[in-house]
Amino acid sequence: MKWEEVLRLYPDQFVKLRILGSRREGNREYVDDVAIVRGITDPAEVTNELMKCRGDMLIYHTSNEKIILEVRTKPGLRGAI
Amino acid sequence: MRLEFRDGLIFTSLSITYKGKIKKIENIILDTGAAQSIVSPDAVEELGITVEPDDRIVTCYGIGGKQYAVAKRVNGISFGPFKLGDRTIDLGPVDLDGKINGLLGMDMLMEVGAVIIEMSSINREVLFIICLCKHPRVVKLLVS
Repeated sequence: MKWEEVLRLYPDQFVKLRILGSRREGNREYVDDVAIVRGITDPAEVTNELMKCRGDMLIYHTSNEKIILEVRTKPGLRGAI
Repeated sequence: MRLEFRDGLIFTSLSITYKGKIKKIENIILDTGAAQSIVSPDAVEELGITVEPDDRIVTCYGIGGKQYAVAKRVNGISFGPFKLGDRTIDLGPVDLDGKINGLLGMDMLMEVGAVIIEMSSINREVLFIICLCKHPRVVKLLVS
């Protein structure tokens, strides 16, 4: 599903999604094709859910017209323990 | 600034100020291999920092695969004698076991112009000092 369609179906909320298609330009990843897992209406859930996301799973808010992720390329110890 | 060498790593602490509240966070690794500092969201939970709709989401590819963090604006960060003002810091998963609460990375070390002293040279006649700044360099000092 295109992100524009998600904006229409799930207005003004966080959604849990799977990234199906994205492109990388420099240190940015632009995501346009996604599969929606579910909408998240409880804001208390959002931080924890995002931190648990791995790989293609992502939490994002539909007040954003585009999904743009900033890529950190030298994360150091991150995730290595 | 208290530094502790443990489990092959250098541990320290830092404090984050957010909306008038301040929280000291222990078990932060001094990591010159990390371009960006990061703090675990669990460690700052009591400051009430959460992911909000217009927050910038960042992604990183660590050994554990692709993970996410949120670049969060805070009012200040301090460690040792250094005080840094308003800035964003990544909040994200650092260590699943919860033994490490964050990484003090090159962004903040460079900003304060940190100096690392090569430990093996302590108590000898020559002291090598690694200066982290815009033009990183090793300074050799003769100790009389």
